[in-house]
Amino acid sequence: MSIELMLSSLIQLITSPYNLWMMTLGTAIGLVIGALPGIGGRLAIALLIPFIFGKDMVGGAVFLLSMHAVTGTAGQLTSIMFGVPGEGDAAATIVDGYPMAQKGEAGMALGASLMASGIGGVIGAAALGLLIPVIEPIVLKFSPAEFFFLALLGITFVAFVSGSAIFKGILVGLFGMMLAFIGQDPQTGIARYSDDFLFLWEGMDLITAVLAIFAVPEMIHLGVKGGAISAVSKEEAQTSVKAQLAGMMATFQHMWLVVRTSLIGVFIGILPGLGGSAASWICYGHAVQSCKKPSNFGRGDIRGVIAPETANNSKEGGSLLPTLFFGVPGSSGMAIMLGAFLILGIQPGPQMITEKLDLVWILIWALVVSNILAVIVMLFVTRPLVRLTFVRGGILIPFVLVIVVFGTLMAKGQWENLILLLILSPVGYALLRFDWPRPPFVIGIVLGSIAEESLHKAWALWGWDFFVRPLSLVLMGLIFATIAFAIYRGWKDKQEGTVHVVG
Amino acid sequence: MSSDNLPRATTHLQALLHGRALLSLGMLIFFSVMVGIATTYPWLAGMLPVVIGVPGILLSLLQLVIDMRDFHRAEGKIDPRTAFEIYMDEITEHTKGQVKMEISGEKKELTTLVEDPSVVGRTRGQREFLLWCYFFGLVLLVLLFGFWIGIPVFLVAFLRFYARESWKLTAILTLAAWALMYLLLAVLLEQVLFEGFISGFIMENIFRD
Repeated sequence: MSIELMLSSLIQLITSPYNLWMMTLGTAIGLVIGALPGIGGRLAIALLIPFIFGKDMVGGAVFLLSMHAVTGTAGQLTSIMFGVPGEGDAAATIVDGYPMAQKGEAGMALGASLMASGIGGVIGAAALGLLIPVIEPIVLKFSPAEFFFLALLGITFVAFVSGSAIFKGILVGLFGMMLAFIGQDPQTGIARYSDDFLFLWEGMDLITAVLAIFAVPEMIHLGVKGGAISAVSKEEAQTSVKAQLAGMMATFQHMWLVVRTSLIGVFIGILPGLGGSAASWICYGHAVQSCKKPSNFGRGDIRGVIAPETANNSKEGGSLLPTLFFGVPGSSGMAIMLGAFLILGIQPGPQMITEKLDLVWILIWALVVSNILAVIVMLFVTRPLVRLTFVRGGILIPFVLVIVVFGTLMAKGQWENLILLLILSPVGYALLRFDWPRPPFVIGIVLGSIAEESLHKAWALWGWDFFVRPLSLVLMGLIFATIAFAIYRGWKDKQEGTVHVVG
Repeated sequence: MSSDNLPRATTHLQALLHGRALLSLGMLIFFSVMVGIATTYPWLAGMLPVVIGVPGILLSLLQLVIDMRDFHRAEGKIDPRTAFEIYMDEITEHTKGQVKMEISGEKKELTTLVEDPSVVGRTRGQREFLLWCYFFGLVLLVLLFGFWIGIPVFLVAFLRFYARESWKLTAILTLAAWALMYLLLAVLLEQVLFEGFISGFIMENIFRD
């Protein structure tokens, strides 16, 4: 890998007006689409594939990748301001981002999430570049057995995101996992809990579930409470550029957390099948777990915004790795990207290293530049939007509910999801009303299906032996250590009389 | 609500039907039904739902016992309301003035509520009921008449009759939102959204030719 090639690729990207235009256009479209709930990066690529027909290979790839890379940066906007996640990946940001908006700190939360997204994206791209020579043996070490234990590890974080209500948190996590089992069983093909409802055969739609459990209850709560999202007046709240800059600086104050969660994001991105939502929730859980005094999580802790946002963007760099070099998509978004690459004439595989390394580096630089560009653009766009948190609920609620319905319809293009929304929303409201933590639900529904699918595969491959594979043992050790730590901390908090409220 | 006026928990039924316990009871029923159904599946398909569901049953049972025990123990001495209910009651009791609220350990002024016309003259329960009715109405409108017809009807109804905004503001906001969404979604992104059962039927049978 030569420095010369790295730099010449950067120059090729930024000195070519066409490539620069495609990257800017991709970034702009990605930001608009990212802010619309239900569309997200995956659907955005599918929607815009016709746009790249007949386009130059490099320009087309740069366009799609830039767009996909920044949808997460814009997705946090509605998560923080209205409690409405752009897609499943952004749901973790709600847990602390929305309470910050309620405290009049939306500007600070948005500043932190923008900077975290930007840094995460750049670290993800850097990791992609650095890992090129060593990636193959690492990826090959991971099999369904390890995926199963990784999913279990993620599920154990339920204990940390449940605040003081651990029993309730575990129950809600199990509830999410049970819902994840709805649909065709991956092993036998039997339609579980779905009978003749064909729309459920593919499983419960994550976006609909997240909107029902988080967004609708928050809007009903806002309407019942009265007033605006921000509980403090506009004069007292932090809406200035200064607040946004303070949020951005806070990211640097927690740089070690940023680096850790970025690397976790990259790692999860590399592993095909774990998905982006897993990355943001595992990193959120890690932030709570690794914090000495986590009592503020769930009440508007800036670390609860930083951790999932860095992971959200850094995972894109990671997931590009197996997509480009093995033709194995690292995420569902990358699966569609893979198809787009083929349309453009890019044949993913090991020959990308030997024959098309210049193109690889252009794509890496596109990731870096589009992430930086997105942060700069969003910095100017978000400030006036923060004022929406001071608009009366009576005016804001109908529009947010319309966005929720739109997101539900768009998620899979099925009207039946509206019925699911109607069924699950009162459940979400009951959880909110009776002080049950809601984040474990998403962890359960995201990781439940991954755990099941991996378990079946691992069982079919190795039987009982999958428990004694070296990496499985390491991951099992981590799981037991995590549980032991959760119990220890619960006991310690009880001794100190500390109360945690998450969700 | 002062502590003298707090309701006393006397019977098991009262404790069971108390809000907090009801949710645990709901969870218990949910897990039991899911496990029951899972036992009818072949071993491979039903294994994990049973493995996850059985601890769910045990935990929800335990939580139910804890909730009922807490309710009995309270005997009117502690506030049986949830944190959410206390929060809501505090706000609604102070709609005519400023209320000191504790948010994340800091005392902050809450001043926005007095200006909200959607709150005036409606109790918490009424607002809660009305909001759910509007939400269910929105989904029903979209299902029957489709996204592009259902949305403006809902916006006008909500803004005018729930939020009590003027006709002028209602019309401006509805038109602006509809036009923006149509431009972005239908024109630029070329998205075809659900057209609704009644609208679809009319389009299919009346305007087909």
